[in-house]
Amino acid sequence: MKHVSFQSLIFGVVMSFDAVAQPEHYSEYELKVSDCIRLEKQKQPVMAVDLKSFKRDEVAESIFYLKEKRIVDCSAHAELISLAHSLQSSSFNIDSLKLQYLSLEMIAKEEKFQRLPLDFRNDFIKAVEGKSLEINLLDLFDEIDDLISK
Amino acid sequence: MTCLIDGLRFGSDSKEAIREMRELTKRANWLTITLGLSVLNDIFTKNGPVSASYKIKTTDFELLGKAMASSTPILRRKTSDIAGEMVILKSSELSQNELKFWRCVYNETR
Repeated sequence: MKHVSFQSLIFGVVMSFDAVAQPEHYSEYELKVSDCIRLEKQKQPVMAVDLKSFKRDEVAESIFYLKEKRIVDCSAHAELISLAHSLQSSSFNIDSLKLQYLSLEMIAKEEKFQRLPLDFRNDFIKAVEGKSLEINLLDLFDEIDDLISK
Repeated sequence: MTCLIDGLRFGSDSKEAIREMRELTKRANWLTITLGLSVLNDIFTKNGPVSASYKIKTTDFELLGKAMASSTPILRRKTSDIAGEMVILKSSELSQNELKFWRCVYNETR
């Protein structure tokens, strides 16, 4: 008989309860998010050289926003349905919803992005168009930092 | 990359990020169980104050990675974004130990 540790067993049981406790509309939203991430990952990854003409800090501020925006746009319909169900619940809590849905937290990132110069925003969006941002961003910024220091 | 960090002290930016992490993990009861006695359990899932200094082993981060691999895509994404933003956006305000800590969290949660 295959050995199963006590911790794994408990973990499995608790995860099952978590899965059962999750409403179907939310599970569907999560599935859609996973699907959107998978689709993004199929694109060519963005490279440091694609971004070498921009200021590091502006790229840093923008890349998390744009990465999130793509997934939010792709999963918007599923998110809207799930959010509508959650808002109908008498026990909904806005802080809790911010943790469960991607679009609510994106607003703050969008505000910061909108404060950046318009030319930069347009050029940056063009530079990463069709390229995946679902990559190891720390590796990307290590490469960007290397390019800057040369 | 080894993730052994000794004498880790968190500054105000890291403490704020930890507070966000704790908010996120409130809904994930299973995370506390998976992390067990790992020091990362104290940091990421408890409510108490952050300790003055931590020693964290590579295996602690690996355990976090294992837990996150079975996690929901949204929780995983939000935690890795917090860690990634700390390294990329706040690097000049963090100590070398803090930077290493957030790098290790990012690499295990993405």
